[in-house]
Amino acid sequence: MTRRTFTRSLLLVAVAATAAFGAAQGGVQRTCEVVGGTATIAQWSEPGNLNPLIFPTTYDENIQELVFARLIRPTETLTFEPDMAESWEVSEDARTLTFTLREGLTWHDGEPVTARDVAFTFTAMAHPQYPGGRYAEISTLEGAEAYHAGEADAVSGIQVIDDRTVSFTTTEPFAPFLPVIGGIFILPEHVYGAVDVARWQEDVTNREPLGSGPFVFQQWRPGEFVEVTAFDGYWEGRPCLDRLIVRFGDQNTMLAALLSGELDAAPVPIDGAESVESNPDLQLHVVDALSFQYIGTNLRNPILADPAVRQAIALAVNRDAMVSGLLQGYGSTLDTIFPTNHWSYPPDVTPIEYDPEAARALLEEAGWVQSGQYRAKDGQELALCLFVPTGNQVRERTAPIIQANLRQVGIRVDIESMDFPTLVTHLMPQDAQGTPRAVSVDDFDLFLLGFGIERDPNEYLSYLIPSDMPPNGFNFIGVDIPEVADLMLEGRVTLDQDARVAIYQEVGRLMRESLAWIPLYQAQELYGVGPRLQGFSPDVRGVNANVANWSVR
Amino acid sequence: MLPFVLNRVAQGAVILVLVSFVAFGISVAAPGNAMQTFIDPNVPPEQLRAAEARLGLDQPFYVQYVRWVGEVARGNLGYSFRTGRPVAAFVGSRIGPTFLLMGTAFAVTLVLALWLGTATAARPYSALDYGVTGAAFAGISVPSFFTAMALIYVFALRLGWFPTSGLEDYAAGHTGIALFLDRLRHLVLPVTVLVLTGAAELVRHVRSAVLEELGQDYVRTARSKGVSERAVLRRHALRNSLLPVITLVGVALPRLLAGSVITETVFTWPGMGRLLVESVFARDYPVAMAINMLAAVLVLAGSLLADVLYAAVDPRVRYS
Repeated sequence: MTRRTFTRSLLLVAVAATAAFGAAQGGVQRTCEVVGGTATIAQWSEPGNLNPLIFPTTYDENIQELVFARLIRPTETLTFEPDMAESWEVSEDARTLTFTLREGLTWHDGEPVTARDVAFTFTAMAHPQYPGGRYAEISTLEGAEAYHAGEADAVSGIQVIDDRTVSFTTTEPFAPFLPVIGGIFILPEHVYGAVDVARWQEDVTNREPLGSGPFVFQQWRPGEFVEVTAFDGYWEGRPCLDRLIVRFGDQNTMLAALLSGELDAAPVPIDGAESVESNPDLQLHVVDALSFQYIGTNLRNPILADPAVRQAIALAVNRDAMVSGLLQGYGSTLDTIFPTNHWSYPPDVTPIEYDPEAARALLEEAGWVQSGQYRAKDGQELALCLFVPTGNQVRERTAPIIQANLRQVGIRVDIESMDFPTLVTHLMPQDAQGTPRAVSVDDFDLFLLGFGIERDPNEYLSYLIPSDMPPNGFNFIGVDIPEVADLMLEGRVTLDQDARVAIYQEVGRLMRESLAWIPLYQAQELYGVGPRLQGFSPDVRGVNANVANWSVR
Repeated sequence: MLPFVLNRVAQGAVILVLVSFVAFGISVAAPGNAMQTFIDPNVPPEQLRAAEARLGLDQPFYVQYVRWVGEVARGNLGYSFRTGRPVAAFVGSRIGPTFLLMGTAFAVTLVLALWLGTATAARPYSALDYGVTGAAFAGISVPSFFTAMALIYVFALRLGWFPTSGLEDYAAGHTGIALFLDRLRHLVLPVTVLVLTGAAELVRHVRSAVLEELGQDYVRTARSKGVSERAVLRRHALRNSLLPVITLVGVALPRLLAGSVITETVFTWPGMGRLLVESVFARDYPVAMAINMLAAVLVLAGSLLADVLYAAVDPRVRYS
C-alpha cells in the first residue's frame, strides 16, 4: 500500500529551519523581531490582473501570493508542503488526490473557508466561458472536458467530501498534478462566484482581490503602488509587518529610490550591483533563479538542420565571457535546457567548451569552406539572421558578442532587434487571413529567448514534442527527436520521483547532444535591502519567500 | 468670432476621425497582439486563440475599427486588454497627475521664457545673453532622459534634497497641508526636466521676437517721447512680440504631453504618458487609442486657443 500522508508535525519540521514558532491558543504564532510598521518594496512592472486565474505573470503573482493561499506550496528545494491543506493522500491507482483543509481557516472578510471554495476555484478554470487561459492545467481532471464543452453541469473529477475534504481525480495518473495544485490560489466562492465568470477580468474583484493569505488587500493606485495589511487570522500566524507597500517603476529609478532610502528593498539590475555593494547602508542578496537564456534554431533551415553547424555555433560562442563580463559574475553557463539548480539538470552532462578552433574544424568537415570573410558551401554563404527581443538589457548585449564570435569562425550573423510581441509573430506565424499556420524555413533562423521552470519540467512538453509545432503548440524550432518525445510523455505519467529525475535528466542529455536549443547562461537575481528591513530572504521561489516574517526596525 | 470657432470645431471633428483611423491602423498593423505577450508554457495556443476571439483580435482591421468607432460613438471606450479595467476610468485616473505635471511645467516655462527672453533681448550680446543662449542650446540638445537621470543623481542621491520618484511618500500617508508640501517636493525634479527642455526653445523665440520689435519705428517714437526703457520693453515691445509666441504656446501643450512620456517613465509618475508607453508595449489598443485621441484633442484645442488668443491680443486680426 503506497499511501503518503503529510501531517502538521511534518510541516513544523519543514519550516522550523527558517522561522521560530511558539505554541499559541489553537494555532501557530510566529516570533517577530518587531511587530508592526510599514515596509516599502518595489518591482519593475505593474501587475495587470489580481485575479490569480487571469493570465498571471510573475509581476501579478508577486502581489497575488501576498493576498491568496494555495492548498500546498513549494518549498525552497521545490518539493511541496502544506499550505491551506493540512494533509493530502494519493489513492492506490495514483489517479485521486484527496486534500484535508486546516481547521478554522477563514477568508479576509471573516467567512469560513470550506472545501466548496476549493472545488469552485478548480471548476471555474474549466468553465466554458472562463477567460483566463489556465484551463489546460486542469484539463486532465475527469469530466473537465465535458464540462468545458458545456456538456456537463460539473467536473466529475472534483468531489467535495465534507466541509474540509476535497478530492481530485485525473483521467490517468498525472505526475505534474501536484505542482499544478501548488500553483493555484484558492478563491472564495461567495465573492468570485457572485460574478459571471466570463466577466472576471473586467470585474472589480480583478482589482480588489480577497483571499486567505498572509495580507489583506487595501488599495491599488494604478501606476503607483499596491498596499496590503497584515491578516490577523492567517493560519500561520499574523505577519510581523502591519503594512506592506509594493511600488512599480523603471529599473534605474527604483534602484535610485533604494539608494536614497525611499525603498526598503528592490530588485537590482546587474549594472547597479556595484552601487548597492558599495553603499554601507545596503545589503545585496544574490538569488539563484530557475530561468536561463538560449539561442533557438529553426531546424527547418537546412543549414541549421545539420548538427555540426549547431555544435559549431555552441563551441564558438564565448559564454564564459558573457557571464564574467555582462553578468559581472552573477550567474553561470549551463549545458542543457534545464536550469542547473533544478532536479532535472543532469549533473554528468557533457560541458560545452569555448573552442573556436574545434568549431572551425567541424564546419570545415561539414563542407563549409572559408571564402573571404565568411564560409560558403555550393555557392551559398553561411549566413544566418539572429532575432533579438528587446526588454532584457543583458540579453540584448549578448547579440553583438554572438555576432563577433561567430564571425571569427566564418559564420555571418545579421542582428535584427524587435519587441517581444513582434518576435512572437515570427515564431508563431499567421497567414494573410490571420489564421495561425505552420512555421516555414523563412520565418526565422536564430532567435534569443529565455525560459524558466515555474514548478515542473512537464512545462517543456509543448516545446519539445513534434505534435506541438505551431499552430498547435510552442515547438517553434521544429524539434523532432522520438526519444525525447517519448521521455517527455513518460514523465507525465510516472509518479515515482526518482524515476522522473532519471527521465528528465536523460532528456537533458539528449538535448545537449542535439543543441536544438543552444544554452547560453543562467543569470542570478539581485535584490538590495535597506537597513530597516529585517528577515528579507528571497530565494528560488521569488522575492516574497518568507514575507510574513519580514519586520522593520 | 463664434462662427469661426464653430467652423474650426467642425474641422477638428473631421481631423479627429482621420487621426483615429490612422492611429488605429498603426496600432493594429504593429506586429503581435495583446494575447501574444502572454506566451506561457501552461497556456496552449488554442487558449490564446480563444482569448483573441473574445477580444475580437481575430477580426480584420476594418471590422475592429468599425466596432471600436461604434462603441466610442456610444460613449463606451471599452476595456483594457491587459487589465480588464474600463478604459475611461483607467485613463481618467491618469489625467490628473499628467495635468498637474504639465500645468506646473507650462506655467514655469512661460514665466521663465518671457522673463529671460525679454532680458536677453534688452541687452543682446551681453554676458547674460550668451549665458542664456548657451544654456538654451544645451537644453534643446540634451535628451530629457539624460537630464532626468542627472537630476536624480545630483539632487536625490548625492544631495538628498528631493525624492527620486513617485507622486508622494506612500508609506508616510500624509494628509492636508503636509500632503500638499510632499507632492510639491515630488514635483520639483520632473518639472525641472520639462522646463529645461521646453523653456529653452521658447526663450530663443521670445528673444528674437522682442529684438525685432525693438527695431520698429514705434519703439523709436516711444523712446524719443521719453518713455522709460523698462516701459518700452514691457508695454510696447513685449506685448507686440507676443503674437508669434502665442502660436508657439499652442503647439507647446501637445509637445509637453509628448515630453511627459519620457519624464513620467523615468520618475515613475502615474500619468498618461507612462500609461501610453506601457499600453503600446502590451499591445493594449483600447488604452493606447484613448490616450492618442486625448492627445489629438489637446493639439486641436491648443491651436484653436492660439487662434482665438491671436484675435484677442491683436486687434488687426479678425475672423469672419
